Amino acid sequence: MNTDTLIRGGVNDVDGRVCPLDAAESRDRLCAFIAAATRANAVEVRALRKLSGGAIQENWAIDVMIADGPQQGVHEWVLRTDAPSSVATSLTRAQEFAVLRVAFAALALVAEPLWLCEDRAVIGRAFFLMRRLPGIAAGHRLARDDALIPNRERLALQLGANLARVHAVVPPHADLSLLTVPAQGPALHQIESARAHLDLLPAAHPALEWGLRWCERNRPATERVTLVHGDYRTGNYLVDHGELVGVLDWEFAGWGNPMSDIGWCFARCWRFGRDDLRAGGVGEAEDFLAGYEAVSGTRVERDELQYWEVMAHLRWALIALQQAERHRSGEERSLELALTGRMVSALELEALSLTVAVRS
Amino acid sequence: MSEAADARDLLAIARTTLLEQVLPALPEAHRYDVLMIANAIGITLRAIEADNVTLRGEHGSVLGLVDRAPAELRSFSTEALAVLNAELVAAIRAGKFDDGGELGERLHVHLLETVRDRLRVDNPKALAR
Repeated sequence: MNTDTLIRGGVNDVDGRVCPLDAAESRDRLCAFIAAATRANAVEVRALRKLSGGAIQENWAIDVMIADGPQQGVHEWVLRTDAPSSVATSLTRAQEFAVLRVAFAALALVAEPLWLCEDRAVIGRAFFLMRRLPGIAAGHRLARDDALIPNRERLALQLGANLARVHAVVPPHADLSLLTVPAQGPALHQIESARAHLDLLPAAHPALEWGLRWCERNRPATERVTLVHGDYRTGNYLVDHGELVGVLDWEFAGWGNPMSDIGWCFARCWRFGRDDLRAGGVGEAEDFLAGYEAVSGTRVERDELQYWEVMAHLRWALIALQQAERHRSGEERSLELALTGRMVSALELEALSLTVAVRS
Repeated sequence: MSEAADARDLLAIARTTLLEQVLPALPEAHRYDVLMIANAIGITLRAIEADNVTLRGEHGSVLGLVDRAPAELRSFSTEALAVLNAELVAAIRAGKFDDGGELGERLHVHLLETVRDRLRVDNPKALAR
């Protein structure tokens, strides 16, 4: 399928639904938006390709030719917009754009955010544009293919250092007033939120409840609150020639406990089969933490880290249950969603093995 | 072969045919879908094998963990088990098992056995790790 067909031919997206970017009128309005933003007289979309991944948003690779003005030339960008199914707990595009700008300014590795458009008259949904980064994000490839990561120690160091730059952003922040600080502390907020979501599901889950009770009783006495990515794990960052290039998918970012990001990254469930490489299945934990501590200037308490690995398994188990329920209830019939529910028992066993061994 | 065993055998050969005959002939784009289908068939086969034996065991075990279960819940049914599990969850949240001891130990054993039973169906390789 060539570019012309993609742009002109009324092509359906991956799921067979007609998407607004495909319509010539939407494309013309998008060009007008870009022209206004770049103070150009003419803009042409040279290529438009939907990128894989993400059920909550749609990402499109877009190549534009700007005919004149300060940004004259060819540019490779990503357009990010809402998918038809959105999740209440994820950020709006406007909120995510604000987070990206702050992260970019804090020198975290992230695609440079360019323009936000909340006018639904352009393509039918809010969207923003950001620079396109090279590299591979696929978790199973990064974990298993040593040719992609010749120096795992270096990548782990970079992942840790980069996360510390994100965590250097603390509330209150003038550009992040859209985000709220959890009043009861990040740990208890996550526990109470999990219980509320579990109560909405048809069946009871004693193993998860045990884990949440353990987390409630063993939560840290004091917690730092910083900007957290919310889904910092292998699969959500790009690696190019073995180097960390940028972190993707900031829709779960917010104010939280920075240890939650490290615990999520280290959790066994996100190692893509490389159980021996605790840092995201790509590197050693101590290399990641060395990079993190060098930038943050603080020491990461290893005991507290294990607490957040427990929370990570409980959180992912709840997400898996919710996805399976979407299928079971008929809201979105999908083999993939149904099978996601079958991951819960392994997550419960890991949570139990971490908590029963370290009893309160 | 009984009707049930024949049905299980039918599923097993369907899975084998899918993986050995169909998958190698398909373009890369369909590989993931086929692997998911094979996985789903494998889980179904194991679920049929597990039958209600493990659920009966779970029912008996959870009866020993909740207080004063009414008579209608003491006989096994999947509905009774669901109600008992809801009561167990409430007891966990209320802190009934916080002090550990013999009761806490029985809860741990119950949870581990229940989760392992489910993992035998969902992903036996994970149980082996």
